Amino acid sequence: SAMSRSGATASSSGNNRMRIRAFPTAMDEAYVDQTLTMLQDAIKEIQRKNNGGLSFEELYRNAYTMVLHKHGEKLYNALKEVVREHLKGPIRKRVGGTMDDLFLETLNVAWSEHTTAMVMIRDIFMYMDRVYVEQQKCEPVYNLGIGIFRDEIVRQDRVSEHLKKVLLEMVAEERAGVTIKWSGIKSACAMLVALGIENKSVYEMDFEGPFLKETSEYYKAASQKFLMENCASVYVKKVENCIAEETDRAMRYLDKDTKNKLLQVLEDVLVSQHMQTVVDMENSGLKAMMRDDKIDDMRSLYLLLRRVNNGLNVMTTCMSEYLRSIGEKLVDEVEGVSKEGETVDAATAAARKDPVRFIQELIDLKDRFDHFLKDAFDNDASFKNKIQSDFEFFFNKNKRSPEFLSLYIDDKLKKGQKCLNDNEMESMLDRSMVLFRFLSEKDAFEKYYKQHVAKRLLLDKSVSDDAEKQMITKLKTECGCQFTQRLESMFKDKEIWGTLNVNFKDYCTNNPVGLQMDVGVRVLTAGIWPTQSAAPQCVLPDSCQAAFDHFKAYYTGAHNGRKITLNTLLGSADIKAIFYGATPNSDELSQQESEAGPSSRDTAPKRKEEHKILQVNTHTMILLMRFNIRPKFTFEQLKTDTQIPERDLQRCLQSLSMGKPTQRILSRKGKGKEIEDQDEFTVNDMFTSKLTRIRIQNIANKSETEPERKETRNKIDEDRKHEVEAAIVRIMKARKNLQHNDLVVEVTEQLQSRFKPDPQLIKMRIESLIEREYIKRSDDNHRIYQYQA
Amino acid sequence: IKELFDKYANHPQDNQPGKIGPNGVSRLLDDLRLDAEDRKVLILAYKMGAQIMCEFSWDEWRKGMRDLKADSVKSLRSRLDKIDAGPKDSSQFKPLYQFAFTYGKNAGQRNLELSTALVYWKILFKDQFPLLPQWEEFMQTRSGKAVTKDTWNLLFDFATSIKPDLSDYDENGAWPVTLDDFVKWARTR
Repeated sequence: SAMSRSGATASSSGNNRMRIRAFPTAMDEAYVDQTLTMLQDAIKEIQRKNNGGLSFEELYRNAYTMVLHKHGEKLYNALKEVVREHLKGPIRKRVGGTMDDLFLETLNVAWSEHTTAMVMIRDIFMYMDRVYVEQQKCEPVYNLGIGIFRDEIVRQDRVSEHLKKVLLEMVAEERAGVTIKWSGIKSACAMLVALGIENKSVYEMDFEGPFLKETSEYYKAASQKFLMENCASVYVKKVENCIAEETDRAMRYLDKDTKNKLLQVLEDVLVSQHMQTVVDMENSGLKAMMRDDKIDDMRSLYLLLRRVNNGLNVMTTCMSEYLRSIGEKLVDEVEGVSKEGETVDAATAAARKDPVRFIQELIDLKDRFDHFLKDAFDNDASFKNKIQSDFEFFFNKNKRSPEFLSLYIDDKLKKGQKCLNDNEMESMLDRSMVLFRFLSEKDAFEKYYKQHVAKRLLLDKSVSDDAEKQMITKLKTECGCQFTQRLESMFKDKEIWGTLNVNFKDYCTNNPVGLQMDVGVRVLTAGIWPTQSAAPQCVLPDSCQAAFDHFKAYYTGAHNGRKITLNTLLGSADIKAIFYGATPNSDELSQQESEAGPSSRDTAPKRKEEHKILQVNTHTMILLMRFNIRPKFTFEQLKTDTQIPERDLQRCLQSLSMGKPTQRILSRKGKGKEIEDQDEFTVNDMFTSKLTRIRIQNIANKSETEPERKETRNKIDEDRKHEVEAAIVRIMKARKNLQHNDLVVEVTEQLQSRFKPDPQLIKMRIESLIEREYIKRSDDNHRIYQYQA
Repeated sequence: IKELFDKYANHPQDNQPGKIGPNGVSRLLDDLRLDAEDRKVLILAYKMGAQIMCEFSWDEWRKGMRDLKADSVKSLRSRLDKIDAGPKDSSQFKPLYQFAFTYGKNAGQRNLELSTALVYWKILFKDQFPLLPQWEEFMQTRSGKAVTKDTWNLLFDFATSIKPDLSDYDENGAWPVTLDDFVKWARTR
C-alpha cells in the first residue's frame, strides 16, 4: 500500500515487495491521473538513468490495469508526452549545443541512452503493446520512441546535416591516411538504420546516398590521376587496393547492405569507365602484356575486368585484334595461291616462308595462347571461343593451308628428320589435330594427306609405322571411318610386300628365265592409291619388260582373275653406268684439237673410266637406257622412243643435264632455257663424282607446283559435286518433300565436317538431279522439291 | 471431221501416207488464215497432242477436233481465237507452254535446241513478257547451250510472277541457275 493510492509523492525507495491488493472494480478519474503521473515519473527516472529504485512489477501492473480499464489511450498519450518532453528538452539542448568535436559522441551517447531507456519502457508497457496497440493499430512503444527521437532530435536544428558532414569528413580523413575513431561512425550508422524502423530509408537518405556520391567523386578524380601517372598493371594494382580498402571500411563500420552498393560504385568509376583505356594503353596495355608474356599482369587485369559488365568483352576484343594481326602476318608470309596471271619474281618466292615452318609457327602460336588461357584467363570460355574463331579465321584465309598442314605432318613422319621419342611424337600429332579441326576444307586435307602417305610408303620414307597408324587413328576418331578407309587399305597393301617379294624370289629360282636384274615389286590395289588418272604406258627396255612379264606370270598364276599393269610413275631403279672419260671421236673435242694444233692430240687428257651406280626413277632409267643403243638423241627422238609424257621427260632431262653439276650425267646441246625438240643429248663421259652411288634428284617442289595444284583442286571439286549430290538424294529420300531453302540448310549441315558447300554449287547439283529425274519440283509450288523413287 | 482430214492428208508432195504432212499443214494454215508462227498453231498442235512438228496423224486430228468441238475450218478458226488468251490465263497457258518444250525438241535429246527455243518463246509470249527481248539477248551469249526442261518450265513462273524491274527476285531462292545468271546480267545493264 505504500505506492498505491495515498499521495502525490509516492515514495519508491527500495520497496520491491509484491503486494496483493483487492482488485478495483472501477477506476475513478483521480486514480487514473495518479497512476499516469506515477508512471510518467518512473519513466523520467529511467530516462535519467535512475531506475535502480523502481519496481518493474508494480509499474507493469499499473500499466496493465490502465489498459484493462480501457484507459489505453490515455496511457499511450501520456507515454508519448513524457518521452517527447524529455527529448525536446534536455536532450535536444545537449546535442544541439555541441556542434564541435564532441558532437558525434554526444549524439551517439544520447541515442544509446534513449534506446536503453526505451527497452525498459517497452517492457513495462508490454501489455499495452499487445492489446491496445494491436487493436488501435498504432505505433508500438519501442518504435514510438524511435520515431520521437528521430523527429525531435535528428530532424531538428540541422542535426542530420551536421551529422552527415561530420561522418563524411571522418571518412575523407581516413582515406587520406589519418587514423579516426571509426566506432563513432559505426554507432551513428546503426542509429540511422534503426531510425528508419521498418526500412533503411533514413540511413540511406541521411548518410548512405551522400556517402556513395562522395565516394564516386573522390574516386573519379583519383582514377584520372592514377591513369595519368601509371602504366596499366600499376593502375590495376591500385584499383585492387582501393577495392580492398573500401571493402574493409564497409565491413568495419557501415551497414552491411552498403558494401555491395559501395563496390558497385567503385567498379563503375574505377573499372568500367576506364577499362577500355587501360586495355588499350600503349606499351603497357593488354597487347604489350601479351607480347611480353606478363602473365601475372594479365591475370590481375582479367580478374578485375571480370567484375564488371562487358569487361571481358573489352579484353577479348583486344586479344582478338592482336592474335589476328599475328596470325594474318604468318599466313601472308607463306606462299599462297597465285592469282591469275600473277608472276612471282625469284626474290619474292625465296622470301616466302617454307610451309613446314609456317605450320610450326602456328602451332607455337596456339601453344602460347593456350598458356595465356590457362594461366591468365582462368580457362574462361569466352576467351577460349574467341581464340578458336580467330585461328579458324586466319588459318582458312590461305587456301593452301590443308596442303601445308599435311606437308608438316609429312615432314615429321619422314625418315631423316630429327628423331622424336614417343611422347614428342604423340604431342606433335595432337597439335596437328588441333590445327586440323580449324580447317574448313577438311576434304582437301584428306586428299593431300593420302598423297603424302602414299609417297612415304612407296619411297619407304616413313619413320615409324606406329606413328603413321597413330595419326590415322586420331583422324578416324575425329572424322569417322570413311576418312581413313583408304589409308588403312594402303597399309594393308604395304604389309604384304615383304612376303610378296620373297615368294617371287622363290618363283624366280624355280623358274629361271635369265633375268638381267634384281627385281623388287610393290603391288598396289587399284582405286585405293592416289595416282594420276591415266598412268602413261612407256616403252620399257627389253630387259625390264621381260622382268615385268615374268612377275606378271607369277602373280596372275598365284592370284587367279587379277590383272596387273605396271605404273612407271612410281618406281625407281639402280643402274650401273660407266663413264669412259674423254673420247677422241667427239666433235667438239676434235674442234678444239684442231685449233690447238695437231700436237695437242697426244696430250689431250685421258681420264680413267669411272663406274658408278645411279639411283633414278623409272622414267629416268628408261631414257638413260636408250643411250646404250647410240650415243646421241634429240629430245624429239627420246619422246617418240620412250613414250614418256613430255613434261615429265623434260623434268628428267633437266635434272640430268641442266641441274647440279654433281648429277650432270648428260650433256645438252641446245639454245633456250627450256628444252626443245631439236636439243641434242649425249652421255657426259667426263662426269665425275666422289661418290660411287649417286642419287639423282628430280627438280621437284616439296609442295605442289601451280599446275599440280590446279589438278588437285579440280579433283577436290569433282569429289565435292558427288558428295553434295549424295547428300541431296539422301535428304530427299528421307523427307520426300522439302522447300529449297530448307534443303540447302540441311545439305550444308550434313557436309560441314568436310567443307562448306557454296549455295550455288548446291543449286547446280539440284538442277542436275532434276534433269536426271532423281527429284522434281512440285507442280503447285516451284520452291518445293519432291523425291522421285 | 474425217472428210476435213482427208482434204489435207496425203498431199502429193508429202511423203507421209495416212497423215497430214508439211504441205498439207501449210494448206491447212492458209485456209485457217494463220501464220505459221501464230500461237494458235501451237495451240492446235497441243490440243491434238501432236508428236512431230508439221505432221498430224488421224488419231491426233480426231482428238484435237473433238477437244475443240470443231468440225469445220470456220469453227476451228473461231475456237482457236477464243482460247488463245495468253500467259495471263495460266490454267490454259501453262500446259500449252510445257507442251511446247517436248514438241519442239528432238526425240532423242534431253534438252531443247536454243534456236528452236527462241522461236517458240516468241510465239508463246508474243509481247506479253516485257523482258523477253533481253532474255533472248542473254541466251545468245551462252554459246548455244541447249535449254533444260527445268529452265524452260521455270521461265513461265518467272515471266508471270517477277516484276520487270527484277526488284523482287531472290537469288537465294529456288530459281534455276540460268535464271540467276540472267538476272545478274540484266541488272548490270
